[in-house]
Amino acid sequence: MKYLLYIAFVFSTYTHADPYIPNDKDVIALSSKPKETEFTKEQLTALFNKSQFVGQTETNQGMLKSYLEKQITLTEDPDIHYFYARLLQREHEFETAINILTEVISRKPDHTNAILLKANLLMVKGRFEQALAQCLSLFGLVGLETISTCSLDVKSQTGELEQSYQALQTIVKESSMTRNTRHVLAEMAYRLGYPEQTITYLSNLDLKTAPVSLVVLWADAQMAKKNHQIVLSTLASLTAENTNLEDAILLRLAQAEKIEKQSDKWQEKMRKRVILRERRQDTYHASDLALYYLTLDKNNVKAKYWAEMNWQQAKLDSDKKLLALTNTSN
Amino acid sequence: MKILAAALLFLIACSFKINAHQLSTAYLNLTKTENEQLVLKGQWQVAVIDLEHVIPFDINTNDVITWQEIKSQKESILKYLAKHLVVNQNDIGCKLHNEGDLKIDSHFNESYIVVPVQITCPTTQAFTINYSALFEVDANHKAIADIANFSRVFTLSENNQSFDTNSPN
Repeated sequence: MKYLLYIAFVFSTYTHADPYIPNDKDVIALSSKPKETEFTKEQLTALFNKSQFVGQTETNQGMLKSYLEKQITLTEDPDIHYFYARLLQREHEFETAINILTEVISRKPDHTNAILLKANLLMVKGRFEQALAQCLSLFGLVGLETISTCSLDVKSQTGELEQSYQALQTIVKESSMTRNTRHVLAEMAYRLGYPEQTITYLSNLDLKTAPVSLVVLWADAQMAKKNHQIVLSTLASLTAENTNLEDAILLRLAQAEKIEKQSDKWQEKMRKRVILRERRQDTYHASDLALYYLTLDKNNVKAKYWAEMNWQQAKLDSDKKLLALTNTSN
Repeated sequence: MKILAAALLFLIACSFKINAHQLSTAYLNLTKTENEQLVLKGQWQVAVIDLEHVIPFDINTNDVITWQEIKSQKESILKYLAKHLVVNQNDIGCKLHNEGDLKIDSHFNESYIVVPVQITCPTTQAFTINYSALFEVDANHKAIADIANFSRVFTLSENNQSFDTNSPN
């Protein structure tokens, strides 16, 4: 009932072009649960895991940042500093995160999470040799599959994509493959131009509980196979209200909708999101904005601006290709 | 077990850049009028769900926030704003008033409380604004400001900004 009252109110606000005074009993918003102010490590782990899912990535980010920024001044607990590095990763503050992880690893050399995250961030920054060294430092701490996946993921960024893909397929058994290895193989297949193999690797994935990055990869592979209707129907059903959809998800919905020419609902939502991002001067969604200006609201000057902004932050194959696209696009 | 745990952990540190979302956004719009003093008039607009993190609105705890509940917290809202919107001119504090009613507006399908703002500074010289609302609960909160035709964004790291209305922006 409360949702109906709220929806009725939201519709009523459309009739008011200017600020207005509602009636006393009008429902203005749904109350959110009081935010926790202290967290155990288990709660933090749960929050971070949950915030990877579609529609969840923004919910607690600012609150966690405020909390962890205080905590790292109060404790040297490596896990707390590691969580803070993960949070910085989400905001593309890669160098700061790398420095924090270096400290964490120096205090706790067997902190495998920190080593894996550092390897990933060094790779994103284009420091491939250092990333590989981090992967190899995991010998004796984790299993062969994890080390192989970590190493070959890095190698695939250094001009050895096809070899890395073949090698990882050989090393890892299909039947017992972890979700992460499946993710890395799916991503390599997509970069190699084999979207059908990407879809196969992700075929058993529950998109509702998959990280946003995997959902985006799935959508890109489906669109490469011209399955735009599947993308539209699947992504739109991942959250109940579609109010907190991530830029990357909104962008894929808008791209699929534009091809299908059925309506402009998602394109309009994405257009508004871009306006807000630009007004807020947010920079960590630069690749989504570049893609928006390349594929939806074509504007090569803006596409190039955002692709260059993205390249300052991240130096993976996909970032290089995005930059190249804006240089060739008219 | 160790291998499984590491694999799960690796998933978290997976090879893609994770998409971030920080959309807690307020709006501070002020226009100036000058005589011998500098007067800035306008409004601070803040999302109801953002302000609820620092001021409880759901007084009867029925999970919905009515206009009556918001109105009943007007004093708390004004006190909060007075603490977090500080304007100075030559190290002298400018006066903040909030004459007028609270109202409601909508941005990107979210309900916003519109708080009237009037700031009076002793002279027409340059002034600084320190904005710190909501940063204590959301480090990614931003305030998009249009102040005397200057377009600015207040953030946690850029929360203190100077304005000289006598020079071009």
